[in-house]
Amino acid sequence: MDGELKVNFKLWLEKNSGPVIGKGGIKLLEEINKTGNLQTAIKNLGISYRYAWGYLKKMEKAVGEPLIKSYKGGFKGGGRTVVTTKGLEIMRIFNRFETYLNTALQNTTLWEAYGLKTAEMNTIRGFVEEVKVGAEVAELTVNVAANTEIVSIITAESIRALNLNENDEVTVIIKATEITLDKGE
Amino acid sequence: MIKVNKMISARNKFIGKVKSVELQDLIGKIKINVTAPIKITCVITREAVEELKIKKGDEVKVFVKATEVIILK
Repeated sequence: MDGELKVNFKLWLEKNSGPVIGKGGIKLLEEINKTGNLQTAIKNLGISYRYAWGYLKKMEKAVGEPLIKSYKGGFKGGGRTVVTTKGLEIMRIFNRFETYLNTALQNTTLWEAYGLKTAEMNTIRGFVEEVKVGAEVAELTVNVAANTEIVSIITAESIRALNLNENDEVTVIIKATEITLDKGE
Repeated sequence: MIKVNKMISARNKFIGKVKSVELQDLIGKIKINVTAPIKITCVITREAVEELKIKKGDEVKVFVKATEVIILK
């Protein structure tokens, strides 16, 4: 099979554990906001009026207040639809998180730190044998196998953040490119 | 800890046996069996693999500087 596996995500907003809005709803609100007209927005998105209207009503019910406001008739009889303040707020929240998550998804260093394999890595389970905390750094000795220990120097701050204590079960990560080899004579 | 002939500052020193060597254009991926069940994958330059003449079954020393070891709880 060709092509690499990629990670993706779906984002939606919830209220009282019930779904409020997802990508499709945001697209609809954005199109209404851009065109100022529900009919045009629906036509641009290629969805039916019935579907869009039902979707909007469902979202409004979940939020508990209107997301769009329509003005009838007027010049040329066109009618106008605008996104309410609440609707704009929801668009902002959604887009902010989507941008944030997209950035996080592309941040391979972050995933490596979480132990997800984005590069060739060695992950070894072990138990903390000794914690020596200094002023700035700490030396951690992890027992990974019989008579085999791995020593790690991490900041004293990390020890506190991870609440690391002796006998804790931990995962040791070593990037494959950080290993030096020597051949025994 | 394992004894090595040379003096080296790296806190992590292991002796292992090369399980496999996979040569690519620029790098070599070497899988090493350390103390069971610990297996380590190491990526070094192809040049280094050729210079050290590393092949399957060889006994090698593995060094890792303590500051390069990440801990997850």
